[in-house]
Amino acid sequence: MSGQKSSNDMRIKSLLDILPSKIAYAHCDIPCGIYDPHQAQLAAHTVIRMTQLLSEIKRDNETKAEHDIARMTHVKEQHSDIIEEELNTLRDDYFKEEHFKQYPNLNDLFVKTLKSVGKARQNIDMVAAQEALAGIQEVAEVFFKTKGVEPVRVKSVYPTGGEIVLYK
Amino acid sequence: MLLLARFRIVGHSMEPQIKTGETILASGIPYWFKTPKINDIVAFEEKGDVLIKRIVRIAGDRYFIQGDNKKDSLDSRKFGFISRKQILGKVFYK
Repeated sequence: MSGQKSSNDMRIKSLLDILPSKIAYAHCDIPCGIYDPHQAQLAAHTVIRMTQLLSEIKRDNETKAEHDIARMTHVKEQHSDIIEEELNTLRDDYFKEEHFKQYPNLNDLFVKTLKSVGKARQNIDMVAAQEALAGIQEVAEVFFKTKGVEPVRVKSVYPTGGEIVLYK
Repeated sequence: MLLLARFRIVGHSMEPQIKTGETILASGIPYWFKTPKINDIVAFEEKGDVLIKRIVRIAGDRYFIQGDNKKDSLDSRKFGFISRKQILGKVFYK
């Protein structure tokens, strides 16, 4: 039975791929107009930090190691969720059709970045975590440009090093 | 009414069940044989847009629809009942 269910799921997934997609709104009550890519950048640095710490776990005390792994993985999951939610909000609520026309690579950038976030979430993968941050920073630069301010990269003060994108 | 359509969701009002950015399938075919019922998630037309919400009350052929994320949803609490004609289909896959 489960084989039949998964085969039905596969058929439906194929339908999802074939059918053209339209937009349906699950409208929120209050379009607040307050958007900022900062939260996604902070969350991406957190995912990088958790990836670092998970790679450095020492196994000399097995109970402590398991406890720490559980906590770090949980934080990595939570912050991956934050990134996905923040990116989806920027893509679906903030950026408008004219922005996607003006920056034709923007949609691909979102897709690529969200894939990296997924990889960083599923694995202890520093390359994917860094790619996620790099993608978010590119999105942040486009965001600030659409706001009419000049984006600037500054050195982060986090243990992860690297940069964050702010504006002048 | 829809035969079958795929929609990408924009907005947070159906969270946690359906999140912004997710893709869903909706079809009007289930409503060829049965009328929409309470708890169905439906795609419907409102002022030219397609919206997704859940039916929470039925009065004759009028439907009171609401987002699952009640704290942040624009729905029948604001624009009132919708009519049967506005319902395009039932959301059956996400």
